Formats: sequence, structure tokens, C-alpha cells
Amino acid sequence: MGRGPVDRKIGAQPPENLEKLVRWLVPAACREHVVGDLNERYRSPGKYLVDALCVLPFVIASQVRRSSSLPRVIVRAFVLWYGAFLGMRQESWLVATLPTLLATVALILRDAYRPTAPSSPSPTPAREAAVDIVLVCACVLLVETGTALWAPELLLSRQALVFGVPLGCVVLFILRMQNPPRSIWATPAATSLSYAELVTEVRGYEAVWQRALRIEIGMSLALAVLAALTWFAFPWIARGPIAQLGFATTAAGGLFVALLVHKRWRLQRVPDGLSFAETLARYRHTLEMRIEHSRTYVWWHLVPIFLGPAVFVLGPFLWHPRPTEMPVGGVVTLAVVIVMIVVVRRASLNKYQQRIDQLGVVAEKQ
Amino acid sequence: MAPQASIGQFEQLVLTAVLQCGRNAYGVKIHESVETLSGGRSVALGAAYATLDRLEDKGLISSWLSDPTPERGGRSKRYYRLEIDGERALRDSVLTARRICAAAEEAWGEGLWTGK
Repeated sequence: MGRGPVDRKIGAQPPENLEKLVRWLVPAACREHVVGDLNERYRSPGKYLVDALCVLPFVIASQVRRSSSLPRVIVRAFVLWYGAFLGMRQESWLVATLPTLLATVALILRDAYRPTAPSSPSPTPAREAAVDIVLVCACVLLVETGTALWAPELLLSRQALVFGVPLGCVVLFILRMQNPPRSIWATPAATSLSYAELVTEVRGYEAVWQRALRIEIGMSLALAVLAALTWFAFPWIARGPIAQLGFATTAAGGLFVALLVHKRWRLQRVPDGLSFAETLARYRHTLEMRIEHSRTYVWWHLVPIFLGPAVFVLGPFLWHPRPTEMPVGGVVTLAVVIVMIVVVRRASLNKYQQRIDQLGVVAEKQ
Repeated sequence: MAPQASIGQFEQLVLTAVLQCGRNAYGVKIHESVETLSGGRSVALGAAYATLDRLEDKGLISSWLSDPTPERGGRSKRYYRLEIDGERALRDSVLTARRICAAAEEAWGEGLWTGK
């Protein structure tokens, strides 16, 4: 039978420090009502602590489920393991796996404990992304200190620490800026909205989408410029027809995607001052357009961007086919990256479709 | 129109508890109601929270925070309410349970209720 607040002593409150500790441990998104419910069930400090310890795993797991998606976690772990800690170049797979695991868990928990304001998306995404990077660096430091003391053979190589970690952090920073961990719409997405909530959601979505587009254009242009610069300024790197073709296709691909995103994917802002129904209709149309664009993502985006790298990986083998020198590693890496992008994209599409359906319910209720 | 969400047995219990608690449907009360509905078995409060979150994500219930109340150390309550899809899902579950009940009664006769 329920152990309600019936047998609670009048005016009894949990010890202040204990309640502070529980408050600190409960994720921000559910802190207010969970701590309140625990307070209401309070009978003794011991019982309160047991109650809190029993509740914590469930509420943390629930917030992890709400704030993290498996494909994104896998992409993040891959960027860390492969890009930052150079997992393929370490003497043992465990060398890169330990910091990857710790950093991935830390980032998952950070997302789960992040407050979910129903208003706008993150006000300072750059700062939040920077904190994520600091967290990753702290995890690396922790693992490296531990391994230096107990298992020096598992230390990361100098190459990984000097080049991999900074580069991986930059990639992670860009990924976190482009796909902010906090949802564009409040979790869970409501099917009853006031006009003010709708406008806030629309503006929040526009801000996130606008930033994502700018980053996409910036990265594509940077890739094009980098490839062109290397081709012209460092001719000894771009030696031979394969390398030249690789740099040319990379530059052309980057330029093409930047132009495409700028011209075709430009955000059509929902104008101010429209009625609720009009704002809702425009917003749904914007989301539908985004799904439409994302459906052509593989052909219009991934193929041009990955054509250059594919030339670098496959070119030498196709030029002089030698079965013993098949670029298996390079091909597998390219395939894994493309598959991961497609999977993340698909998961994101499902979320958009879900929101469009929910907004349909909102429209029906009007 | 969103596709009909499928719900498990514990979710049915929680949805029923939300329905039963009516205007007073918040964490502690829902949990008490779930324990009563499950035949007095002990149910973890955290499991009720996790299920409420899941049901909310499925759009079957909605929630809002009340004003802070002094008897809870100044904390707000999160109230829950069944949405149209939630009512529909619960109704489907009840109808399915009725059909199961009828089929079992037909097969076992009075033994269904006496356990013989």
C-alpha cells in the first residue's frame, strides 16, 4: 500500500545538508518536483536517504534517455576514439578506449544534468560547447594521470596528445555548436501551446537552424580553401595526378556544398505579427522543408564532400591495382563516417516528423 | 495524425493512476495509486517517474509545474493530465483486457477467478 505523507510528523523536514546533497544529485530538469515529492514523503533522515537513492538511478536514466540519442553518442565516441585519441595508431585498442569511455559518459551525464528551459535554446552555445571541451580535456588528464601511475603502457602517444586531442576537440566543438544537445523544443514537445510558447519555439528553432547553416557553409568553404591552398602553395604535397585530382575535387566539393546551402537551404523566417494559425502553418511548412532538404542530403551534400577524400583513398589503388595494397582501412573509415552521418540524419528526421505530427494535433485543437 | 502509441502493462497502470487521481495527479499520489492498482505490490517511486516521462514523450500525458507549496519545503508539484491520445491508448488497453478476460473465462470457466 502507498506510503503517503499520512504518518509524517507535522513540520518535519529533511536535514538541510542532506536535502542539498539530494538536490545536487537530481538532474535539473526534474529537480523541483522530485525533491518536493521526496520532501513530502519524509519521515526520517535514513528513510529519506534510502528513498532518494532508490529514485536517483531512475530519474538519471530517464533524463539520459531524453537528452541523448544513441547515434549521436556513437558519433561523438567515434570522433574521440578515432580522431582525438588516434585509436587506430595506438599500440593497444585499450589506450584510446579508456579516455573515450570516460569522456563519453561525462558528456552524456552533462547533457542529462543540463537544465531544459522551455523557452529558447542555449543562450550561449559557444560557452556550453567550450565547457564540453574542457570536460573532455579533464577526462583525458584524469585517465592519463591514472595510467601514468598504474599502467604506463596504456598512455596515449605523443602524436595523439599534440595533434589528435586538439583537432578532435575542435571537431567536437563544431559538432556541439551545430547540434546543440538541448532540444530545440522543450522536452517533451507539448501538444498544447500558447501563442507566446509557439513564437518562442519558432524563434529558437530558427536560431539553431541559422547557426547550423552558417557552420555548414563555413566548414565547406574552409575545406575548399584548405584544399586549394595546399594544391597551389605546397606543390610537393599535391604531387602526381591522383593527389591533384583529390585536392581539386575536395575544393570543388566544398565550394559546391557551401553555395548549395547558401542558395537552396536558406532559412525562410516566419514573419512577426502573424496569427497563431498562420504562425503554426508557416512553422510546420519550414519543418517540412527541412525534412525535404534532408532527404536529398546524401546526394547533394555527402557525395560532393566525400568525393575528394574518396579519390585520396581509392585513387592510388585504382591507378596501380595491387591486391596486396588494398586501402581497406581508409575505405572502412570513409564508409563508417558516411553511415554514421546518414544514421544521425535519419534519427533527426524522425524527431522532426514527430514534431510536425504534434503540431498537427495543436492545429486540430484550435 | 500521429500514429497510435503502444503501451506496456506498467504504462497502463500509470495511465490509470493519472486518470484516477484526476486533478490531484502528481508524483506522490500517482505512485500511491499505482501501488494500490498493482495489488499492493511495492513499486519504486523512480519507476513511476521514468514511466511518466516516457508517457509524456509519447504525447499520452502532459504536465505542468504548480506554484511552490510550503508543506513541501517550498517546492512545486508536477501535475499530470491525460491527453486525447492517452485516453485512446488506455481505452484500447481496457478493451483488449476485456477480450482477454472473456476468452480466458470461456476456456477456464469459473476456475479463472478461483485459481483452480
